[in-house]
Amino acid sequence: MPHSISLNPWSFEGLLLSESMTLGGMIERAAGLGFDSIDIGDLWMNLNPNPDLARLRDLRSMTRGNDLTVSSCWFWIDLLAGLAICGDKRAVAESLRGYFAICEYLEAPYITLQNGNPAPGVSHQQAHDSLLDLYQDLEKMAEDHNVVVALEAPRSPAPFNSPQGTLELVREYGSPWLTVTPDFEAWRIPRQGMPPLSYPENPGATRLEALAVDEFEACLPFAPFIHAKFLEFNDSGTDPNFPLDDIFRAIRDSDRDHVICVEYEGWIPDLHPERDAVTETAKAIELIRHHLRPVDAQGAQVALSTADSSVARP
Amino acid sequence: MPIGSEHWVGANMVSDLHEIEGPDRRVAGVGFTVTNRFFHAGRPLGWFRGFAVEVDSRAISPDAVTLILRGQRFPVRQLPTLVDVWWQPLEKAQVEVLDQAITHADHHQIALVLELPLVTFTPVVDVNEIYPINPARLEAVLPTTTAAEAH
Repeated sequence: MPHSISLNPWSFEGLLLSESMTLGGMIERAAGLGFDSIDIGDLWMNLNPNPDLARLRDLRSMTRGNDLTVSSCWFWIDLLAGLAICGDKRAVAESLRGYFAICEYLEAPYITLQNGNPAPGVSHQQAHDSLLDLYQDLEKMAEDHNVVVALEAPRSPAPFNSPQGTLELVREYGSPWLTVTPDFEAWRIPRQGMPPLSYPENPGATRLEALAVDEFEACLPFAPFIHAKFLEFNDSGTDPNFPLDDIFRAIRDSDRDHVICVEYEGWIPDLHPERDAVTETAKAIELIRHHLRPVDAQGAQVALSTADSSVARP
Repeated sequence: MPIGSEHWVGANMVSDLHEIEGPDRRVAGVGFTVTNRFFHAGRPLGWFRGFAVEVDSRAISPDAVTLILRGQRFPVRQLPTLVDVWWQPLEKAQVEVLDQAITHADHHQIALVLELPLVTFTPVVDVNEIYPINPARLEAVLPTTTAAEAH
């Protein structure tokens, strides 16, 4: 299947936050590296809480001017946190309406959100039921704005942010407007010298092993949008922290096309802030292209078909 | 949140330290700039559930600390209540510390002692602190500009 490759500017976040790169420079770099599209995070929209319209217009112009599209808008939204803090789903939905409108304005086919974590005292069943209830509102907004909800699933120890937990909810709800975004982080292999497999927002949750790639394969029919996290590249040009051969074999064998969105995260202070994030991100796109190259019956690699970065909505 | 333990790109996040002169022309405190280099910057100020300052390893009373954003002065005790004043990425805020125990020095050590919620629904603030709050600490040793030099 033809896949397209997108860039999450998170890959250049260290450069952006240290003012070594501008937003415009970031978009130019993304185009220069050969990405088809970018995934824009909420922090660069100057929310207050409403977006800065001039900023959105700049983002749209800069993206178009570099022959890119916007694949997704990423918002730091934990739906369960919203339900706990706002107190009812109507307030949560009202808070999210503007975000769907931003995606529509930027012509992004996906809005990326997370299910989040249950508040203390909220049972698994209560959280499950309240999410399914909220999905009804999300589905309506998705359809209204023609934007598919991509529920990011990066945290294997978290019940509703894990690939399995998110997949179960999406399958149970059963709407093409709600999809799973598996994040390679959930398949990260524990390695000495790397940050432990526990997460700042889930301090009590830990795991010792990477998830099985079977669980990645299970997500793919429901996963038009995938987060491809990378942390570091070795001399062979691969990232040893993830079972990439098996992950990309599953993507190549998938019956649907996918937007594969690169999140190079090696720039964080705990890892390799000294490395040039642009150079490392270039390795990521090269690696993905290598892995996506199909293999013919004789085992030889054939040329890539041109990716179609347009997205068929439900 | 990304993996790892830090919450910001810390280089030059605290800068422009200067001493503040009282009416008697003696040092009455210090001021400095904080640039918003937090990961996922772009939040209401109420995201800071705690915002304390230490100068030269001494905790400063919250009553002596004011955060100034776009010319608006907010006592740091008030920050957790601010759900509708947003601090944008790379935007600079000034912190003013008025404490006469601070004396002149060529350098001062500044520490921000923060309390941050890491489970988030960006448009609203967890004012009832339903989710756990995480401590975070940012330190810098900065050269001092005296009041006379600043002028």
